[in-house]
Amino acid sequence: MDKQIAVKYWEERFGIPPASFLPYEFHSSTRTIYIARQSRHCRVISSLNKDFMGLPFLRQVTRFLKPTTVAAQRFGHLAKKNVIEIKRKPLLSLCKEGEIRWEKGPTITGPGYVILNLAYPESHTAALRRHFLGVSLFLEPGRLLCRLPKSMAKGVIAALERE
Amino acid sequence: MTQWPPSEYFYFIPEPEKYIEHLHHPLPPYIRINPIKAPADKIMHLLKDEGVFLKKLPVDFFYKAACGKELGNLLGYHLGYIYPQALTSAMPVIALNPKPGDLILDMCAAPGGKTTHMAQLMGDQGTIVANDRSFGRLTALSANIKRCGITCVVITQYKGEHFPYGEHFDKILLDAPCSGEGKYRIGRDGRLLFSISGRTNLPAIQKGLIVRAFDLLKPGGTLVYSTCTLNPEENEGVVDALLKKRNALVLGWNPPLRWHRGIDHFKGHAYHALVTGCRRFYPHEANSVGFFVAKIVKPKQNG
Ligand SMILES: C[S@@+](CC[C@H](N)C(=O)[O-])C[C@H]1O[C@@H](n2cnc3c(N)ncnc32)[C@H](O)[C@@H]1O
Repeated sequence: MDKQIAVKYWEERFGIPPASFLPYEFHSSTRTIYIARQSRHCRVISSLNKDFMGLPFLRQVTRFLKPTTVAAQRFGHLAKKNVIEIKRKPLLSLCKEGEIRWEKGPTITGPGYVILNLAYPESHTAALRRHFLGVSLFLEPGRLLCRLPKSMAKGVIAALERE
Repeated sequence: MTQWPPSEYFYFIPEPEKYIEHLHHPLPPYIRINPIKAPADKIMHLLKDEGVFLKKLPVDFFYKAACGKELGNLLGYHLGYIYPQALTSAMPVIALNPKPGDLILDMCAAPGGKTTHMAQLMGDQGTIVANDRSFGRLTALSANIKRCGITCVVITQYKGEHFPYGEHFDKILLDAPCSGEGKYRIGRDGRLLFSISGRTNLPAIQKGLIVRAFDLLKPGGTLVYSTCTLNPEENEGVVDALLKKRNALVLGWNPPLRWHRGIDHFKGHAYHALVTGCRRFYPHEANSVGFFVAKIVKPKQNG
């Protein structure tokens, strides 16, 4: 997978201009593209036997590209479309049942991944209640499939259920 | 009953009776907030809404946290907004003073408390090579780096004493494996908690690591050697060994917590005079894990 494809995907799906990723470089393994901060120290880095570098950014899942949870958390605030604001109750159902009904609404452009923005607590101003959790898969005509890692979904349930 | 602390520690532990009394109480939880993931005010609001009471401390980004549940079960934790961490464990990082753009080696990095703290102070700009010899602990390190949303870290798995020579580093953190005496507590049944039995020769390992770390520094670069033990043989003794082998200097610095100078002798050994420039942090004074921090520089002309 190549850098151009990764940046283009984030632009087309989430409306994030490629310029936002200028300070970064990308590395790929068979199925994953990693995003790493560009650095003038690349000579040192290239001489080392590396286990891991940067953050996983995008994965190839079957024929589709999937943004990673950590990338959605880190870059979600830059997205202009395909971000859904989800409240505590539907989020709990999504995490527990793995799928909920979801009306398309104007921010979703079509089937594909959407970034989950938890509105919590709902009484706060928009800026303070935007928490980017990860991604879910939206399918027509109105299905939302949880794509948070299991540990994260369990954590969300444990954190939000007490109320 | 527990024989702790050993009698030879009494001369350097300040107010040892207070230390002994303090050993019977659990240490309070502390957190560091991580603005790489979200603005500080948003993090604070979320934690408050999750029922966490925070007390500001004299160390940037650190708070004492009181909360009815495990910090690891908070939404703020899963979102990477916080890193639960001993207050005193910020001291080595503050001594190293990481800046955006630096090239830093974290020689014994897992599980990543100090790596992620440094990345945050660097604004996630520059490069941190986070190394650890233990494969198992690298999993926790990479999970913490991902959770904190950091992009400037490269992970390697070398034995520190064999870390390859190549380009040299601006700054190196050697948060060495140690006996962990600074974490010791005494349980209700009088037993010593958190003590590690079956020790290897830790000072020998630490001496090998510190010499390699020093040799990997650029001239003019800074090395911070730290442990969470009170044991002088793993602390001043290790810095003393470096000072005898290499042209190194120990720099004084002003920590934001109560501190004491390094000690100049132990069990009949007199240490190099420069080791008094090291900083000691005691559990009963900081109400956190005991720490030792040495800030070492390699002179520009290293003869
Ligand atoms: C005190 S812990 C480091 C804690 C870490 N700096 C943090 O802040 O989260 C010491 C680490 O040294 C690693 N270690 C032990 N011997 C080592 C060696 N020879 N080379 C590199 N790492 C080593 C251990 O696996 C352990 O993770």
